[in-house]
Amino acid sequence: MPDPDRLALMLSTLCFLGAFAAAAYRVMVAPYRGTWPHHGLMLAGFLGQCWVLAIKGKELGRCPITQPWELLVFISWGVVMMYWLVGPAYRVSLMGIITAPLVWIFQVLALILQGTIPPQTGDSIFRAPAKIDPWLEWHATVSLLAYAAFALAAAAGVLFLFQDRQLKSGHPHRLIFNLPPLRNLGRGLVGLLHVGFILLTIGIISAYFMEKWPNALKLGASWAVWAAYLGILAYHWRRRWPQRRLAEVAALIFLLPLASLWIVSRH
Amino acid sequence: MPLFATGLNHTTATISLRERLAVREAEVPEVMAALRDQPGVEEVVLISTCNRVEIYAAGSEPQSVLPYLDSRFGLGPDVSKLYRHVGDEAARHLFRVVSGLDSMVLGETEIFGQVKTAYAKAQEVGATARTLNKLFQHAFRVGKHVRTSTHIQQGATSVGGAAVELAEKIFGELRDSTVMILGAGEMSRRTAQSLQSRGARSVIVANRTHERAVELAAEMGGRAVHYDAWPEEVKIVDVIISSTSAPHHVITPDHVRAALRRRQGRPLFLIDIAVPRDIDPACGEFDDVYLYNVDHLEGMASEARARREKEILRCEKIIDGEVTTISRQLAIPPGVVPRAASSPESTASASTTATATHPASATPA
Repeated sequence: MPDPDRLALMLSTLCFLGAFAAAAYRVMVAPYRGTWPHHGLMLAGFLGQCWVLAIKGKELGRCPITQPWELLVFISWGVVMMYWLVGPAYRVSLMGIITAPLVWIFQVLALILQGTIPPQTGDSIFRAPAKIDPWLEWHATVSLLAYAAFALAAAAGVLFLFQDRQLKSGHPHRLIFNLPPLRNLGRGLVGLLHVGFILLTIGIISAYFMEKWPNALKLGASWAVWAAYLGILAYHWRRRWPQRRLAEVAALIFLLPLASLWIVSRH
Repeated sequence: MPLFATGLNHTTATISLRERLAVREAEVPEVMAALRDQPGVEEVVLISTCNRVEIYAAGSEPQSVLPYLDSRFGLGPDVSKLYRHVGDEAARHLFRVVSGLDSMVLGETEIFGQVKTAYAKAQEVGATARTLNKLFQHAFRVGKHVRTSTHIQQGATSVGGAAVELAEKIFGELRDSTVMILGAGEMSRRTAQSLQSRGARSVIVANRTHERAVELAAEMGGRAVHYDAWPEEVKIVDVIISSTSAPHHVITPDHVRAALRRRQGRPLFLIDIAVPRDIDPACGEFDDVYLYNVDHLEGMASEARARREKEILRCEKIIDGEVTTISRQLAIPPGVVPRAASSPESTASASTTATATHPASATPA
């Protein structure tokens, strides 16, 4: 029998796979719209994530972002939060078709990474720190939510590019007519970049209120991500990038937050 | 209870005969009441659209509606041209009609609403009771089921429809979209009308003969611009439909490049329905510009038609099952030759038609 956190993660991952299947089936037969099975499975998956994070949070006595697999679960949780909060605001039911597979991939990776951790002996190797720094918790949480928004923007960008390529061909596949319209996708993408950028700005600023500042490498990585997204948005504000170009950039630039996560989790 | 359906449609009768049998909206209640008052008829629904006139009747002798139709509309020998479906075949016919399998454009959805309206009217005048109420309510469920579980209504089957489908793919809702027509031809007009029917509000027309542009703009509730001024408008339009008779490219990459600078990243959909082509194919290479010519659109439409044809068998299977269900529920007898109508002639034709009405082949789509 796996540990409760692993079991919860497995169940949650299965729910997201189911949600993806429900969304994919819907897209095969009709224009995409969130369906009850899809929403139900997304909710079940989300509850599973909360369960994992609650177990780990209790065990660690702090926000469970101490290892790469926890980071992935936390970002996945953030992605699903965006699905509930940002999706309806931008009238992009498209988030369902993007969110489920993205979260599923993240959580499969998390399960693999979690599986590589040697079994613990005796007491948990993770112990609650003597004192919790609320600014540290806030900084980490908000920054990871920002990364979740960037992840969704990247996935929206990939979906945009797929459809754009089909439409440009002059012989579009029938499937694309069941996917969200390009303009909605483009608007959702810009919205997510803004949400992510604002959250990241708040996250980085809050780092300076921490009792002990993060090391230079971590801060540098965060600032680099921030600067990259500022550059994209500034250019977009000034020149109005074509939607296709913005989709390409949003998809590619996400490698930067991914790399910075790797740095942050290693140091 | 015995069930009977009779009528004619675009495949079984000429337009002049359909005109003779067509019932004006205001007359529908009166005709339905008269039909219901025929001996042996207890319930009636009359459907009258531009492509079909059909009567569904239930009662001990439901085919008694025929003599009334003959006398009221003066059909004479043409009464033999009415198709007749008896018992479960009548139910099957109704299910095929609401599913769009009997329509001119296979799988079209308008007929569903038309049948619903006809049924509501029949209810209003008290022309329906248990049998037809159950039958029609079941038919609406069947219609929805067929449409949602098959691809019978998927894809646009005309050039205009394909253009609308693409525009909605690019822009989502067309409410805020502006359409420019370059060259006031019939094809452009129809395509623009299709876009308008889906919400496009603003139409700009440019034509070499300015008077023609003004005329078309007035007809479409848009505005006309002088032909030389069209490039200026590109910065505000979302869709350009071009069908001039120019022997060279009218829209060139230079036009598009200049417009894109001022479009603030908004996509542009170019529809070239002219032969020879009006739009330089290189225009489609710009980011956020989508160029479709008449071959692309016709290709999409014919693919959709072929796809719909392939779905017929799946639809018929669903309908088969539903006919069995409703026949059991309403104790509808199987389709048999109707008993004598008003004249020997009509009886003879009734036998032929009733036996010929096999579900998949009798009533062409």
